[in-house]
Amino acid sequence: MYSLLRRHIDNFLIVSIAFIVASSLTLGFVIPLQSLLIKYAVPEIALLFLPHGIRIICFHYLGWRAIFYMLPASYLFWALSTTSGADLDMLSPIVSMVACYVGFLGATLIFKKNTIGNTLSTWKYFLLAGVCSSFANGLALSWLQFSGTQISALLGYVVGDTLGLFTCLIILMYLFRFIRLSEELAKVSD
Amino acid sequence: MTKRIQQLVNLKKVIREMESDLGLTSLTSIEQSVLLAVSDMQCKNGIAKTKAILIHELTANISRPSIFRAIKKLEKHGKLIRVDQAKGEYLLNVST
Repeated sequence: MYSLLRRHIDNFLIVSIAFIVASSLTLGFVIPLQSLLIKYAVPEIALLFLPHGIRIICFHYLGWRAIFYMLPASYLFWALSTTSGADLDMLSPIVSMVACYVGFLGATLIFKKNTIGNTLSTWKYFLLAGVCSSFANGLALSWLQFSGTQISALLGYVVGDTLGLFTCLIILMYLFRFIRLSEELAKVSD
Repeated sequence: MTKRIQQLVNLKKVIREMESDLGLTSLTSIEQSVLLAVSDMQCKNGIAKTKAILIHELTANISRPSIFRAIKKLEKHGKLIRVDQAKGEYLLNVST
């Protein structure tokens, strides 16, 4: 019982830290930059939404429980976004998380488990699952935020989420390389 | 704990696969040392011989099997060209 609780707490901490870091980069860098560069950019829609990468990876490895692990950090992001001037509905974190998971489940039905890692590379499956998830998220959020399916908003969410997911995977790639390099340097200095 | 390690290993494998598919695989430190040694010898002697690669100052601390594996991999990725099959002479592939 204790080890199960400990595992859930550990998962919650790791996922929350990852989500907060991704959200901070998005809120502190991406959104201000897009406001500077793109005149008609809407602050509610980030064109490089890094937390989507964390969502997809967590859904894949942790399943439905990832919704609960990510929700507190997601609400923190909502609170900070709202303070920065974005007009986000209070239900948007939970609607977004559930919609993303439903979209992700849809992808698992489309792409059979035995093809993933064989005929379809796992990272490509992540991207495709990310698009499905983002589409569902976009539909749900555009209904919540704009009271209807606005094609431009839906496109914004899909582009932002997919680019964010891809960027997240690239960041992970360089993070693992940095860890490998540090290990090699440590071996040389020994 | 085992499950988490397995998940981390799986994630690393996914990222490695992505690196490979996108052509972003980096050279290991051994491969880098071999490439630099070949470059150095090519500058000095015009060509790099296997025997000389094995005793070069950059590769002297690396085991023979590791050096041969690195040469084979660099050849496979087109970074080295074997000039003479019998004598084991290599040149850097300048087009890459």
